[in-house]
Amino acid sequence: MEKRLVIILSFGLITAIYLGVSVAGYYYMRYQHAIRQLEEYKEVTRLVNICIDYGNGTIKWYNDTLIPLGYDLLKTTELIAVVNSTYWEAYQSYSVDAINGVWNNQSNYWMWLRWNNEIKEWEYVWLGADQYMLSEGETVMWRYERTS
Amino acid sequence: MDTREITLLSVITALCIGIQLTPRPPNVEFTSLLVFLTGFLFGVRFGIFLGALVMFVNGLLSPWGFAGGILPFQILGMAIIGLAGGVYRRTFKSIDFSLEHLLEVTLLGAFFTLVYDFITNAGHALLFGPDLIAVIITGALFTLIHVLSNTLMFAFAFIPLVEVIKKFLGGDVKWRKG
Repeated sequence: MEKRLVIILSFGLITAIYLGVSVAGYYYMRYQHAIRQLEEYKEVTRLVNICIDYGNGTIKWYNDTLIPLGYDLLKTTELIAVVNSTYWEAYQSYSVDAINGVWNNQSNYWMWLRWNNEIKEWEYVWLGADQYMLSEGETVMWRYERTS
Repeated sequence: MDTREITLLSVITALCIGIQLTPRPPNVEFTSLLVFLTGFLFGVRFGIFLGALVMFVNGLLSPWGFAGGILPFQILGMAIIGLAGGVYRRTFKSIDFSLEHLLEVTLLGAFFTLVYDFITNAGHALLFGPDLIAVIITGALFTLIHVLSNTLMFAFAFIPLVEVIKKFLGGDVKWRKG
């Protein structure tokens, strides 16, 4: 290979290495920054796990979802899915009508359950999703269930 | 220089300054290509002169604001690109481009854009305190955009521009070693 081509190819190599290292450094810096921010906001945030079971075999998990302190289950679900809900004055609470376009109907209904870590089972909680505050590390499931 | 060369150089200079001062996405510019081209066409001295002049004017009138202390570094960086164009020209016996030349020009465009960014980053570090590595890493995405856009410009525009100007100047007879 010609000497001049070797020189120019090494220019190209230097450029590629320089760019590769600096862009990797940039993303590493961003990552470290995000970790620091996460630490900083640890006192005012919660990590929770949300599962959506569509009742047809499709189950989606949203593990380690970061939410602000004081977020209820409804707001948390709205972070990860499109939720349609109705406010019931009588109960002073919202009910969930649909999640991601899957609507309640006469036979199926969205219910939610929390994972009980002590007895290692799912359990129903008879509260509106907007009235249930999630705690650190909690796991909750939305399940599209047959009710009749 | 004959009248045609002077005219062409004036047009390139005006074009270069005009484009440089036109609002555009950050770090996408045509100056490097035109300065390298000028160095290649008219020799090292013109390349350096045009690079320095364009960055000087740009430093004062840029849509991004007055360059301030970074101006000498911009001038140096662009002058080096002009110099590189002139030096590259000296490696040619006659102007007959091949695929190998296309590869060379593309890589040179990428490399000297990087040199320019390195120099201005070094200037920034020198003037404003953070260490050079931090400046390089913080500006990495800007450098990436700059290098990629210039690489494409050099790859697609340099050889066609030289061919056009070669015709304008009347073939190979006017080519000089700067």
